[in-house]
Amino acid sequence: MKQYMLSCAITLGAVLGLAVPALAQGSSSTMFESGRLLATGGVTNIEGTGGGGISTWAPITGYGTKDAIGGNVHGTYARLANFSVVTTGAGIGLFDRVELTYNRLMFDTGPTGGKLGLGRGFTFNQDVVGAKIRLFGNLVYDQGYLPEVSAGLQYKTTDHANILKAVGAKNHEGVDYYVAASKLFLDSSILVNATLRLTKANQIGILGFGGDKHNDYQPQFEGSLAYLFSKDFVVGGEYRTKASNLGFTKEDDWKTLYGAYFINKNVSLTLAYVSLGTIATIKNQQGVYLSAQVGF
Amino acid sequence: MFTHVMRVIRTAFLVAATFAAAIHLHAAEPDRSAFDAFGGTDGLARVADRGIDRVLADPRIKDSFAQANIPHLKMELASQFCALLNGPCAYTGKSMKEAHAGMNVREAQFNALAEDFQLAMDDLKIPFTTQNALISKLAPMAHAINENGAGE
Repeated sequence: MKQYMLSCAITLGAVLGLAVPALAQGSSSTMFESGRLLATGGVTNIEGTGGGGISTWAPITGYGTKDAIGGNVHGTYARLANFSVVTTGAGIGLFDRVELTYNRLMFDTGPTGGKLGLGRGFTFNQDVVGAKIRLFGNLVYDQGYLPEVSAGLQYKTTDHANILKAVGAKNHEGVDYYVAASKLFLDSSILVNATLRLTKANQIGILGFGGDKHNDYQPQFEGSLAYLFSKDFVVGGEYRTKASNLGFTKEDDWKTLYGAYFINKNVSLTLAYVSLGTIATIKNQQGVYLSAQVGF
Repeated sequence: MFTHVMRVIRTAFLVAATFAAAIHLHAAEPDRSAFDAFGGTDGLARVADRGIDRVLADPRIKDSFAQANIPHLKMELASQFCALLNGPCAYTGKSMKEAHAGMNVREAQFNALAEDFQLAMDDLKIPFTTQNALISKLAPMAHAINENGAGE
């Protein structure tokens, strides 16, 4: 826990160090202007980080340019065959450099909770605090081979630690580290994202971190390919690899097909088909994912 | 340990493959198809004309053009667009850095102009993919135009 708090403190310190001088310089009329182009802030993923639905993207959330602050809140609902997921959270983007996010995920086992011996409607709650820093590159302005690249971490803590331990998880909290690269090929209207994540998470942490089978950090991949039909409408797919750390259940890679409609710079809607495979021994968890984001 | 190494290799491979696929898509031969899709020099002149008209009506940035020679600006832009899309034109105006020196162009202003030109191309019923052929050539100019560069 100490190291998590330390890393959070370092991140916060870095953010304040960047933000305060810039705030002092900036004029109030432009500080919160949505100066980036439509859709270039992406949407918010299931962990609360700027990205797609299940994948993490490099761009800093919101529409703030390097002279401004952007921010948003989101709500997401996914209805799977046997479970449902709700996430809500908020994110802030500082000067197109730093992204700070908070996300709460509620994983409702519904009637299946009874079958799993947890009790009908048993819900796992997960809090995620995320920080991302853009290292270099710009999605729009770099049309050569240079992608936009960011690095980040997500501190995640899930409740019901005793149950997670009982099914073999080594911890109810953990930190994921990632490097994300995003490339917009404007001349072919294609957006590509690739992310390398170091994680111990079981089902992104809903089933804890580490397990009886594996308890080490493993590299995982998140990829997304999107086609821009217009300034405000994007269609794509995602793929996210996962480890199988727990002995009692296997864990599958996640896939989505999505469409995102950016009504304007303040509101976006994402609709997706998601295929999450086996979750806690229950197979074929496919379903519909709907997310709304409001911000600037 | 072996499976761990295999996982690293697999992941690295997936990352590389994604970008290799993307770069392959990107590596098109320079051609004049976009120039033709815009309707040649006449079509690009209409884009420059309509775009600047929209800029001059945009409260976010119109003041920056208060001193500009508008007909000359439209002509220079049209020839620049033509040259960027491999058309039979040579851009003879100032470099982007010279032309914007001392104007303190912020990223949001650069983007506001880009949005105005997107709307102008919408007005002219130019398909989004064709629009992007031009935008992809103009976007990197942010590095030279914006006062503190772009995205470094």
